[in-house]
Amino acid sequence: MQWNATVFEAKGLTKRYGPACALQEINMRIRPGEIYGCIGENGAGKTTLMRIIGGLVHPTSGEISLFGISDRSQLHAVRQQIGFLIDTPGLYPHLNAEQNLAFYCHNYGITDQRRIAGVLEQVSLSDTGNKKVSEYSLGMRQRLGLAIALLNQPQFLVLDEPINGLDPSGIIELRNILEHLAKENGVAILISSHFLNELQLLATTFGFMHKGRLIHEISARELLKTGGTRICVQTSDPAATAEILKRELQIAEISMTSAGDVYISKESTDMEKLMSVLLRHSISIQGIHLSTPNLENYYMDLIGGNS
Amino acid sequence: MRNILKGQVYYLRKDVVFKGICLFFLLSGIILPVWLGSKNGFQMDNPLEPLRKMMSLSLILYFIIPIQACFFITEGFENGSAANLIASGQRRSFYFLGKYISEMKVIGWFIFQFCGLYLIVYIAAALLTGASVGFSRIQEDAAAVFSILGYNLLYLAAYAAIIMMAGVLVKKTATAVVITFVTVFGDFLLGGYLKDSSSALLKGISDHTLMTQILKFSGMYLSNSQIVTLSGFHEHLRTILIPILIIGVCLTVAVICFEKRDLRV
Repeated sequence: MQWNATVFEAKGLTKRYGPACALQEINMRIRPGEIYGCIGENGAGKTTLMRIIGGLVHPTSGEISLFGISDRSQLHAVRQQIGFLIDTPGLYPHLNAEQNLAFYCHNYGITDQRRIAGVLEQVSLSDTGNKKVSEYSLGMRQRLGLAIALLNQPQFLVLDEPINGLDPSGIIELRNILEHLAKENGVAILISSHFLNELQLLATTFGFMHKGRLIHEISARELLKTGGTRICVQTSDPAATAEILKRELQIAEISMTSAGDVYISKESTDMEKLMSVLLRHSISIQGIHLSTPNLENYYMDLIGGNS
Repeated sequence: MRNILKGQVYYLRKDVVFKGICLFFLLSGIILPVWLGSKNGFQMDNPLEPLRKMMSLSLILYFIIPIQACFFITEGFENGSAANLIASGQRRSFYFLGKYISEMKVIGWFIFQFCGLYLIVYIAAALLTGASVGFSRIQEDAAAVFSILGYNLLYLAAYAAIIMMAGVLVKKTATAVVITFVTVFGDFLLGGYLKDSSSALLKGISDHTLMTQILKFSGMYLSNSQIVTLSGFHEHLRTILIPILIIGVCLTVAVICFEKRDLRV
């Protein structure tokens, strides 16, 4: 595949439900091997975008192309190269993992039975035996849903909040699986998640959606360059802390999150001066650490969440 | 399409509703011939006579199979597998038509199981009890049996088309079940209550309901205390065309609507 080939492209993609606009003029491009993290609040349009890719929802205007094909009558054929995990996984509660996968194998025309064992091992569900899906935890259902998405050895994975319900080891395993697929097999991945810290470890490109619009895109490399290291101070009275630091250390820019964390640029002061000011004013310090440029702060700055 | 059909066969083999109905027909296919045959000592003029006599019992198929069709068409939407399959490249029209063709196979299987088992058990019981088995009027009974079986297949296909069209439009099992009951019993009531109406329009509606045709070809339609059966080419033609028209319209509407609408999970 050419290095500049496009797996998915949206041009002016719009979706309206009556007067409400779920997507407005989305222009997006995803390339092979790219892990595109889609970030946005509930109702931002992430799931609608994924449903349009899957052909479950018809766009009001604009067009999409998958693997260079934009003709709607041919899109169903190229969708066979795509694996989806949107909303809740489509599982049969009265069947076990193998039987659920066997159902999809029949529908996809997969005759190699080893494929089932292979994907179950990939998502660490090999030892579920005859346990019915109705007895699965949420995390196990998510894993099985991912196994279904991987069954057809897709070239493009569309995952809507796949981390939901996974335990920490499951999250790490998922990250390893997706990184391996992207780096070794050149699989493109579109993933949405509210776990921004986790997404930052995984994605190579971030797209920020807000009220149906794609307001900004940035690569992981560019994200790291956007801001220097900052000192994060957690105290019992963040407002007073910010005021004291501004006055005593003449720091012009101090930001504070809604959680009460106070951020100061590392270039504006050093740790010793900072600590001495806080101790001198008897500020109770609950935590202090260095913070590298992170997705959460970038997102909050983008949508104006910081004061 | 072939893959969808294989997938649906796999699903049906694991489906509790399908297995339950198979069990019901298995038991009734064994108990009914024993019970009914024991009344006359399993005597038969020809090997197909028991089947011809039990054709009126096939009415039960019209209360069971539409419900099964209702569950079958909506399961994909309720469980989310329909969305998975369509998102992974299956055409929506192929998905629906695959479901319908699979349902036709189910209908054929249920008819075969119910009637076939009845006949086999009846004949076996006759042979075991040493009852006399003749061969008189076998051609007439064969013609009657096979035409009724053919009509049953056609009319069950028509009911399935209506129910599956409704199922694909509403996508919820609970709503589809209500529609199924209204369709089956409504058709039954329309045929019965309007039968003797003085209004030509209402009588015309009654004459053309599915259940009226079913009762006629099954030999159970009463008019002025007399059994009315199909007679003449035109009546047979009308009996064939009504379900074909319903199947054509319902499948077309279902495919068009399913293609055009968003699939909200």
